[in-house]
Amino acid sequence: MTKEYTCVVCPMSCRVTVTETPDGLVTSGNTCKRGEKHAIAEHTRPMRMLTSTIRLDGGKLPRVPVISSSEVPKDKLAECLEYLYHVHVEAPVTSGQVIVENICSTGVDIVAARTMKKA
Amino acid sequence: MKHIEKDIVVIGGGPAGLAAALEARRQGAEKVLLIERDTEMGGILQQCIHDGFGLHRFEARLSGGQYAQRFIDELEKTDIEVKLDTIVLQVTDNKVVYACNPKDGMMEIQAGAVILAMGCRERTASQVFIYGTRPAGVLTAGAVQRYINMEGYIPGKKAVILGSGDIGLIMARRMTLEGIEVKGVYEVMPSPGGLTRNIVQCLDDYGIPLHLSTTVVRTYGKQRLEGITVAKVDENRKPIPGTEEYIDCDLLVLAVGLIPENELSKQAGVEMDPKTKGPVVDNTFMTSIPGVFACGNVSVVFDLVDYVSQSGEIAARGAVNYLKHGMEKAPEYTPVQTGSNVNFVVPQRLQKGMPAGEVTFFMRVAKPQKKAELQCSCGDQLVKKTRYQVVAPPEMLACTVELKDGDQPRFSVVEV
Amino acid sequence: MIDEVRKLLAEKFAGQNVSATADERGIVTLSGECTDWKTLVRVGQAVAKVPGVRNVVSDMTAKGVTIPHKDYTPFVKAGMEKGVLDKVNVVIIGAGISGCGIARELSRYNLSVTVVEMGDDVASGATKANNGDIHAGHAVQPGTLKARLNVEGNRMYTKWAEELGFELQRCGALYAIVEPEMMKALGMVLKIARANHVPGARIVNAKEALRLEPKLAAEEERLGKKIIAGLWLPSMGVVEPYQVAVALAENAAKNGVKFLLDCTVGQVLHENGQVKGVVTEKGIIYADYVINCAGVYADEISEMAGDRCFTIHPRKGTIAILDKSTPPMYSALAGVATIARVMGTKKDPESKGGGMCRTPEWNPLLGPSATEVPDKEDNTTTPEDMEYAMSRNMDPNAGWGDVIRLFAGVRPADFKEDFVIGMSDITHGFINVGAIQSPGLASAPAIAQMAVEILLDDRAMGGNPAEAKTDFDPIEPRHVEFRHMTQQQRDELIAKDPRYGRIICRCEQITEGEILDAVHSGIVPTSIDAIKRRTRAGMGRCQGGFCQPRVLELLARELGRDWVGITLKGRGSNLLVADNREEVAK
Repeated sequence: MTKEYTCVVCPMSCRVTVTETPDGLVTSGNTCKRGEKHAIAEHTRPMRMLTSTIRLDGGKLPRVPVISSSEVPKDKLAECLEYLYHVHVEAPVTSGQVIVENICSTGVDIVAARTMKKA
Repeated sequence: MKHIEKDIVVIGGGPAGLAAALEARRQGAEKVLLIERDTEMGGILQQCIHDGFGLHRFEARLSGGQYAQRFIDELEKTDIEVKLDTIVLQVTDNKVVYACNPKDGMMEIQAGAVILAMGCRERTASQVFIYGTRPAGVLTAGAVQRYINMEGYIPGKKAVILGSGDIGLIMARRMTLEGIEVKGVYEVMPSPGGLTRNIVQCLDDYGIPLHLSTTVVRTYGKQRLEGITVAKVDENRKPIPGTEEYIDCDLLVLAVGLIPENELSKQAGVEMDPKTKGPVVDNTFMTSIPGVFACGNVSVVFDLVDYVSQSGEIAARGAVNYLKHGMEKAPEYTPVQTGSNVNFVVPQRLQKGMPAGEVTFFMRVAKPQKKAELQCSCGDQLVKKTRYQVVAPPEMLACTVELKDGDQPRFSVVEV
Repeated sequence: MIDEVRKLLAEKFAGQNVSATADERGIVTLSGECTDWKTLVRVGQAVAKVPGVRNVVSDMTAKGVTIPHKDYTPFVKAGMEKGVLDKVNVVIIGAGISGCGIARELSRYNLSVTVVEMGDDVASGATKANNGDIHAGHAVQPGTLKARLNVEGNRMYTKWAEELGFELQRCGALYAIVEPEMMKALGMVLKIARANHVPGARIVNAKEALRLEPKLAAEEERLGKKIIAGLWLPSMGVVEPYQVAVALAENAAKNGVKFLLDCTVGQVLHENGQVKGVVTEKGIIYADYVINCAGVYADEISEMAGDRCFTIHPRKGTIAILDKSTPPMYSALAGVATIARVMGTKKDPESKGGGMCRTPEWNPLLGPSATEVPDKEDNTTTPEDMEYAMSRNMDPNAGWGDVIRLFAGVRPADFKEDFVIGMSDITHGFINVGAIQSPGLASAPAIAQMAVEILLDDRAMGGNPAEAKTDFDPIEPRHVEFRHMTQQQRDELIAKDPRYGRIICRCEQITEGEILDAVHSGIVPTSIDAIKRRTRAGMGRCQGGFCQPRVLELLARELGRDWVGITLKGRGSNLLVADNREEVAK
């Protein structure tokens, strides 16, 4: 099986083809080693940062932005977001404060992405 | 009316102003005042909840709020005075700043130096000549971002985005995550305006189509947007008759460019650059009025916040230097020249009589080019060259060069 | 007369399948199919010019054109279900400049008056899309009702502005010429101006023209020709049309007039030749008099009253507003009329069409264009109309890049191309104030006076004269305009009320205090656009990009509504769809 990926490591935007062979994954089209690494990661286990907002009670604004402490598996994004839709937090919130620990068993925490004082 | 005296007045508490105020204080300016029109600092960063900020500066992929928070936290440790919920109404050429807020009323602030850091605004539907009706549901990307990320409301359910710059792409993903169906991103130019990374992670990840050389020509719906017509454009960006296609949607998001906010600058009499739509600045980011500096998106629309902060710091150092040494008369300048495939360079000129040193230049190319080399030469001498796999207009190039007084740098991008 | 009409149709419009009938009043009804919409309009206009024809009613259609028809049945049904809402002396239909002006002038008397308006705000139809020119009266045909009311209305504006606190700038108009051949044309305009008694109209020499408008010198240079003379019309003025209408409405409300917004009339009640009232979607209002100021729908309202005596053919006008940072070239509405320019402009002979003007806030304003359209609500902009508007630009420093807003409105023109003002000769108590197109804004004070006189005379004749109120208050204090104050005045204002110290709209420098003043005024604005017309918040170069969420927040807070309930411009134009978390969680 072969699949094509657009490399996002640098502005060159190489189209990298990943082929599954009996000897493992083989890439072509990339112009550097970083491209190979990126394409293989995208093929085997793509990861993404997660950013969204959650409901904030008693704050100056009704929402507070959150971010994942590190990348989460792409196929887990929807599940994580769905979970976050239902999360409330009370003001005040400090930037970096953990809102959800180990979200959806990904091993990743969701933290507040800014400080928000009480209204 | 309150009369206030300050060494440095920074207008705008976004990334440029925050960096400028902090750097001015660090460099020894004693009385620094930061004026912000919103009720909190951080500017537009506070509504940018996506990550990707601070790669150069902090070697991290921060969200907008996180990036701002680092500066805000630092600022709160200083004695820099901050006036929030305060608007500057006028800046005079002798550095008097008129501002007001509900608490202090009108203030007349005599500044030793002024740093303009008001940011930019978005182009609107009228400015890109979308014809038809004027219903609810036609909004700029920034307004949609504010409604969704800060106020917690969605302004539509079926959206079309015009403009494939990073803002448009980021909003495509953001709206999708909030349950809005994004029907497509349309781009009038033949190539996308944003980073490949964003095309992949904001569009491809969610199966959102990108249509190049296509624009929105008309809106339908008297009260609420009911649909739009898109059309292919020719090489002059004019719609091609017969290529129109109707799309059913209730939200049109415009991400069609940013314009530096320079009403205060113009009012003060600052000389403007028609290319950057910002003031003409020198290597200290000083405008044509001695003691008045401009930085961040006021000087030119940057694409990386890291550069915005950097320009604020350059301006702050210039302002402190100006305060220390004074300036009896307007300085003389040597121009910075643009060569092949360089659309503009900021700063546009260098102060004569400045000690030799490092100067950072920010520039955009006119057209995409592969295997490019950015060259900086003074006279016949090549002072610096940098290789790029590819250069394109959406990605600003920064180049730091060691210069001597009187050098006349010239920047070109050539194929190698 | 009908024979002449038929002769004209046969001779001039042989290709059109149009037939004509006439009633004893001289109202000609045309029916049949024309080849296209433009021709249909020309047929109507030509027939209206036949001596003896009082006006033209059109049942004509045009090939391939669907004329949209408003369905009033839901409004009638809703109103009938709700039953009797009120019983008053006078109902005014429409709160545009005419309706508001009449309401205000009627509020001087001991009469109960209700204004019903289909839009969410006053001035939400043709009035808001007007270019704001208070025409001097040099461009209307002498002897028409328009000519008389234009010049009279223009004169009366001074008092209106003084009493009602709106901005009127008597900037004057100056038409300069550079070619001797144009002298005759200038003389002809002067002759019309004199015939209409336009005050102060005169020919000025080059020196005086340049003194009046020094920037004409730059125009001389560009044209490579010297100015030889000019026509100076000092009474020409500019206003913000919606500001005038709002001031009139607020003053009327203060003096007891009721305003029902979002209230469409579905039926005019009449019996044995006497008007009885109206059925609105909010209920039935009985009235002794009904005054029809319904703009583009005035013909339909008149028909509801049993008096089909004119037809509105909508004429769209598109206007471009430019950024203040490129200030207007002239203080007056000035320009050089060259042979080339006059010949090069495609002009509808019946409509003036606008040129290069400015607003009282010093935005350059271009247009409006004049395009005949079949749909009364067709206020869409088109590239062609934009081209027209921009073709009016004479400023080399301004261009397409300076446009901050493009909009269109529809003029309610009839085929006679004159105002239709008078008591119906079929349904007593029903007064038409219809076909009020340009110069309707300039004529507004005189139109109001005329309509009121008709009503008062009728009451007096019926032995029931109206009495003037002793407590009528003609004064409407001017709203706070932070942007026009000195720094000292601003300081004092904020000290009194800190809310004037918070700027909501940065482009136009509009404060929270001004928005709150508007929200708590006599005619409550409930939409973003209504706030915009009252305060200018959102009218600047960013077009509300920054301030719209904040205005929305203020509106929701002050009106006690949910954010999702706030509209851009009335029913069905809600800006926000849902609280996204609640929505997504579902």
